[in-house]
Amino acid sequence: MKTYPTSVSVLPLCFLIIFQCSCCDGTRLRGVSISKESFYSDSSWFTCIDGSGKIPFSKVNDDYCDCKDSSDEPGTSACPNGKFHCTNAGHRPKYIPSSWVNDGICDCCDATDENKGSTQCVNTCKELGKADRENRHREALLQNEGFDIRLSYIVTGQTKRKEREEQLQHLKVELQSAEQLKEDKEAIKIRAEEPEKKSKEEHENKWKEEVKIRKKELERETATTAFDQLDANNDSILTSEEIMKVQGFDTDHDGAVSQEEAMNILGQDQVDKESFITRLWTDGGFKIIFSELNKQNEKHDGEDIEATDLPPPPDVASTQHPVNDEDVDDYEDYDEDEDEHDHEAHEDEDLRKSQEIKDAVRRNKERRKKMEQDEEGEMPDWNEDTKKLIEVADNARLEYDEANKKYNDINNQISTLEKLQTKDFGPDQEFAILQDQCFEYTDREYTYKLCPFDKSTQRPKNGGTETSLGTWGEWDGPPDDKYSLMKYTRGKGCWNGPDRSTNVKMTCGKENAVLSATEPERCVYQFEFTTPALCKTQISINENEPLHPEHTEL
Amino acid sequence: MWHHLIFSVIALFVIVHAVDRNNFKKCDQSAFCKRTRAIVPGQTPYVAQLDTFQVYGGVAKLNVLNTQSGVILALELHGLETNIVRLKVNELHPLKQRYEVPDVIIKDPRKQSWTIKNRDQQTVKVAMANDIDVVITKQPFRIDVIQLDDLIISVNARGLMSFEELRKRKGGVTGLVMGLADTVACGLVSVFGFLYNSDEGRGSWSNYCEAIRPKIPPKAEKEEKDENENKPDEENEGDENAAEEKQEKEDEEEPGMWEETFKTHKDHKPNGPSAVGLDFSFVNFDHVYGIPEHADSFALKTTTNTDPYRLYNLDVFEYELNNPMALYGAIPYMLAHNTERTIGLFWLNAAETWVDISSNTADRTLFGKMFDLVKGGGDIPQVDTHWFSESGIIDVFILLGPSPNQVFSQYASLTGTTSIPPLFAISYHQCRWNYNDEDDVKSVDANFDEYDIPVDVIWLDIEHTDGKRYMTWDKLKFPNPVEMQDQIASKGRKMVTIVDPHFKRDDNYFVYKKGKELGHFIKNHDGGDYDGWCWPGSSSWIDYTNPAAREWYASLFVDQYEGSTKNLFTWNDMNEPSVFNGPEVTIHKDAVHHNGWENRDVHNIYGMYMQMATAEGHVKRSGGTERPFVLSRAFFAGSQRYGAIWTGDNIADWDHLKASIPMLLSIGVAGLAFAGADVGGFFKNPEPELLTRWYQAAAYQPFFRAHAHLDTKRREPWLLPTQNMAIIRSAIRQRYALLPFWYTQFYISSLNGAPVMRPLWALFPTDENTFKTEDEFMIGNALLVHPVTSKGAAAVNVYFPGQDTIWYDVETYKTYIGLNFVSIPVTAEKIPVYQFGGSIIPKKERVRRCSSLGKDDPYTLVVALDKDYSAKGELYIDDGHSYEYKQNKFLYRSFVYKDNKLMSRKIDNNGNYATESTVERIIVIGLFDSPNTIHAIGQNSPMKNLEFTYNSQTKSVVIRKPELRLQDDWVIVLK
Repeated sequence: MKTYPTSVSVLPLCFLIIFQCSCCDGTRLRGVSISKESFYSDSSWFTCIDGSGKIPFSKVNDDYCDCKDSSDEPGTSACPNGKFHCTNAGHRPKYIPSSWVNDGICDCCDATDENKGSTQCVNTCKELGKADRENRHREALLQNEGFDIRLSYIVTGQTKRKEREEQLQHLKVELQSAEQLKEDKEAIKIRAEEPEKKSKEEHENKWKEEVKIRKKELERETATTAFDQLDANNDSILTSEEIMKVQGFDTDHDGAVSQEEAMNILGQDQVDKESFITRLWTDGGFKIIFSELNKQNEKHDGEDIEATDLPPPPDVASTQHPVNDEDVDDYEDYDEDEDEHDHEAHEDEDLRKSQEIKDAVRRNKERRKKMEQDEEGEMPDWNEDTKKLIEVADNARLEYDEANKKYNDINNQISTLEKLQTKDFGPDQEFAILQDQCFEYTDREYTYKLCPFDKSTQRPKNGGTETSLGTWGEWDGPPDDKYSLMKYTRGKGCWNGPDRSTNVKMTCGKENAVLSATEPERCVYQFEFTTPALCKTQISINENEPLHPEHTEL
Repeated sequence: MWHHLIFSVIALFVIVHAVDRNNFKKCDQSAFCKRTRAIVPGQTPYVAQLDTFQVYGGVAKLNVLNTQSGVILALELHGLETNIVRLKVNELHPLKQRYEVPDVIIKDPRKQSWTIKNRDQQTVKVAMANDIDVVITKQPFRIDVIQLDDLIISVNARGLMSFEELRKRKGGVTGLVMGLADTVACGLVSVFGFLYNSDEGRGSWSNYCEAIRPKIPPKAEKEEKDENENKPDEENEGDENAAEEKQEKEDEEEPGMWEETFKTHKDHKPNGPSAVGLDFSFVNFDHVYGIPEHADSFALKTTTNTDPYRLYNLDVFEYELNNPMALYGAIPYMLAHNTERTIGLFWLNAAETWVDISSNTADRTLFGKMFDLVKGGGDIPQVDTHWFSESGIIDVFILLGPSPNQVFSQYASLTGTTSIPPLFAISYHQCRWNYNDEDDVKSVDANFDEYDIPVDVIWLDIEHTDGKRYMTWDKLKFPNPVEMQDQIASKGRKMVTIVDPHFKRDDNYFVYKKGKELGHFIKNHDGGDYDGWCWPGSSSWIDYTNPAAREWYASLFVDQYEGSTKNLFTWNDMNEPSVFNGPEVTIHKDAVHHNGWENRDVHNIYGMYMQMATAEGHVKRSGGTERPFVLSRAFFAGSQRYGAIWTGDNIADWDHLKASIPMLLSIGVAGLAFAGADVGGFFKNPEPELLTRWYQAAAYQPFFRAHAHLDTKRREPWLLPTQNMAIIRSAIRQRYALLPFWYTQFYISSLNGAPVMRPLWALFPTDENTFKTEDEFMIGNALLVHPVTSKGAAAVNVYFPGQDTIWYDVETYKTYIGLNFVSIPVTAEKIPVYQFGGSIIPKKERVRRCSSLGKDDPYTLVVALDKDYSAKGELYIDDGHSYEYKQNKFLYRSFVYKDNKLMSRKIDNNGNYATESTVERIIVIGLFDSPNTIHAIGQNSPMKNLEFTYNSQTKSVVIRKPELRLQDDWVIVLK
């Protein structure tokens, strides 16, 4: 707390003193202000101002401290917590601590604080007073200008607030109807979607059934083709001899398909066409063998395939192929079949046969591809009834979405406004004008930016990224001057330290501007910000006069 | 922000290297410590060759033979006039000179002649004054110091003496080492004489050096010629036989003898093993003190189950309390105290040193009856100590007291007293890492006035410089340093800037450029300028052990330090030296200093040399008229002559506040009177209560400075809650009121070497309750202080020492009687301080903005009566800043109260100082009846009756305005 008055707020008192003193005789006790003069009026006894003692008046200002409250030595340094009053004629009077009296430093412009020892002080009150009055005059003008601006800020702020309030009321009404509309549209939507869904399902199920049948037919066709290829003598009976001719069935890698191997594959000596198609094709693993052939062909598509390479033995394959689950499964199946083909060592006939198989497979593949296409994309269009239902439902959905969006929009607007309404823009909304504005200050290294009620940042002058020095926290001035300090907290964390934060010291000024930015302790920044919003008092320029010293002389 | 980045990098570094205790050597990680500690007691190989015993006046000489190695040691005993026995042991024929620490002993102490009292086959007994006998026993070799039949101290009684002779290395490893080091070694060939062994012997070495001599820069040769002080001898001719004898007897190599690795750091040891050690038993003593700096108890602990106390100047990050680890400073000086006598032991060695302590009383629980058996009952307590250093010689001073004050002055007779500081230096200092710019400094300065808190000095840490180039300024933050200092000085205040020993390796930096040119930096083991990492990055270290380097560095303060004024003083930090990337955060032991000595030899004295040179710079700057002020972190025996030291980077917690008392007491009894701890704790943020209590404690400690780490929150007094600010203001004002008393105490200390802040036993040597006291202390002989050092304390348990003593609470004048523990209730405002009945304290009760502004203020004398209604005190006055006191411009006066009279007399008739100050108030406490009249009779004034008031409650009288001049003799009579 300041121990002696210096601020503008005591001005009226000062002028009062000056006024009163202009009529006095000028023999006031050293170091005593006029307001305290009455305590020193008795010329025989002095009672300590706190009543703690009574001493002969000769002991007042005798350079020895007698009173506990230091009141007997207003003009010396004898008491520990005394105050010395400089009249400072021509300038502003002030109190200095007793400890500054006769310490060799000139503290009062009227030189009255040094009356002992070798220090020669010069009365500088006239010059200082003139400069001070001019200065104060300027400041008062600025202050008053700021005051006027502040009034306009208040009007703006309050208007804005009122507008927001009205807008809020309006929006809340709107919200009600929007909510009703949203609910209505939702009901309509639900009603329209039920028949739509039912009709679509019917259509789809029908299509699925068709696809299933076609798939079965295709499977049979594929099996038939395979059978025809294997059935070398075209007698519609597949015998183990015929199997033995296909080198790929050499499961034990001995270079030939033995009777036993062929028997194992067929499960019996021979099998007729129908049994092959219905039973062996799927159960005996032929389907898998042929699907594997398909894969091989796909791989070699675009290349000039010399021969049909059946897959290599599983142990080799597993190290050569990119492994995915599907592949592994396939090979495992393949392994179980113990199927093996080594085509290169075959004779011409085998070559021919193999070529046939290859062709068949290629054809089969083409068919399958087509069928798959049918399966995926070629579902017949919705029938007319369904189409109608969909159209109705689409419309209902669209309308609902619109209503919902509108509802949400209003809701968002309301919460944004409500947030703004609860923001503390000062008792008179005078700070509201600062919202949505940013102010920059550049020192030798950085450009600092303050966006009031939003954030504080810093970025290097010569490029680089912006660092957050805090987001809006709260007003943090002392209880009697809450709006003198803004606090921005939770900025970017400091390495091995706290999150950055900024304190913004607010003072009255004609303009909104950041005057300085410092970092008094690590990662705690301090800005000085002037704003007319803090120009709370209007100074009567007349009262602040006179600029002529004779009016203040005692 | 950019400096944060730098700091971050450094902080990372610091954290990585320093929090960890494992970054500092334990004894078993230090080869010589491990070797020496492993010596088995009771098997000494040393035998005194009594037939060689001869007395030359004050010096007795004797050879001592190592029966295992055949090496002969030369032993000298000096009887010094100040009741000190000096024992010096060196090799009779060393291969090369061993380091003997220069510049510590202030002048060759005057010797007193020995008288041979008895001489037989087994012993020699010699006597000096004061009934002191020294008995040398042949085998097993030991020395006993006896006074009037009382055995006081025994040397080598446990047979732990060791003296590793310099030797040649066996085998072929040598060649490799030679290759690395030959340029330096040969460049300094006259210095080293003989360095590395080769099988051909030293003749070939000389030839080798001759062969490579053209490589040596001419400057090195020139320097060689200039070097004459403390230079190791050239090869000893005619010494071949002894050397060869050694060679034959030499033990096989043990690991760590010729090189040693700690973490990633390799220590080349071209000289091989060179450790020395000796045991000393303090007979009839229970308590030993001193050997700072350690963060440990004041009464030293036994080290039976810990590492020995270590003395090796180190920068220890966030040091731990209660352990024997080495810290920033080292004073190898120990005191032992019992109810009958106080003695001291000063081990003059600047190498890494360890001290083991055991006690038959303290260790009894461990050894039980076995120990008693050995000692024959163990009725007599005894403290056994074992001292060992990595290199150098054995040079020991045994200070025989017998009173504490005599021991203090004996130690001062060897190493000097604390110089009288300028008055501002014992006032309050405001420091922080960092005050950011000129505006920041001005605002701190202005706030002290705003809140009416006195302060004398504002400090600037490393950030004020241009890129950590000391003696430069950051031109943007401090564009007008002279103007800033002038403004601060216009109110009588001073400033301090930091100057560290490491200098940025930047050819555009004037200090580095010139230092490099002059060859004034410490060298690597292989010859180049030592290059290490510190605040500025890659740096070199001025070799302050070199007198020419010191002189050059000092001259920088005269006209090279731009932006400095006569009001700017200096802070030497990091001068252990701290090297961020060095072993144990310091410089390599094999780094080479002036005259070719290794850092191994000079390590602990390096920091002192820097402070010495800085102080010299200040003196030079003023043309020899003004006193210097330098704060140093590293210190050694003798540092007291050059300024203040502080206890380094402490932590803001209650335990560190508590620890400041034993740490400062230990430093004080070791001769360094001007010491303090960072108020508030350097690391971390103190809560307001802790910070407030710390101010209260430090206001009553010799060096009073608040300091804080860069990462801490601002904590200047006005930033605390109003109540705390007011308490702090009051504590600082109490300091200022007592400045005349403090200043007088520093003056007295400069005369007699007694610490200003001292243990209770210094004044009450027979009061055994005080022997372990470390929560309270005395200032001079007048004030007893028991700072509050625990959180939320409602009371403190104050011990009032001394039989038949009276103590007065300085605030309430409440009395307490000696030999009592009293629970004293404390409030937040209370600092338990008591004036000793029988003392007179001079004060200046007027508050001023800083000390110099109260120059002409009147004094208050506080007379506290003892049981005989008498008291005495002193007052010293001079101008507070210059050397004019040496031209007798001072007043040194005594006040004696006796038989109801207070007399003021001159103590030193030479002194005369015309002060404007008078006595404005005399308070006499302890008067049971009111006087009827009081009058004064002055030398130059007529008799006058004085006004007074008597307070029957406090039994005190206040005499009003006697207005007596300080330079006059006068008497005040109470009737």
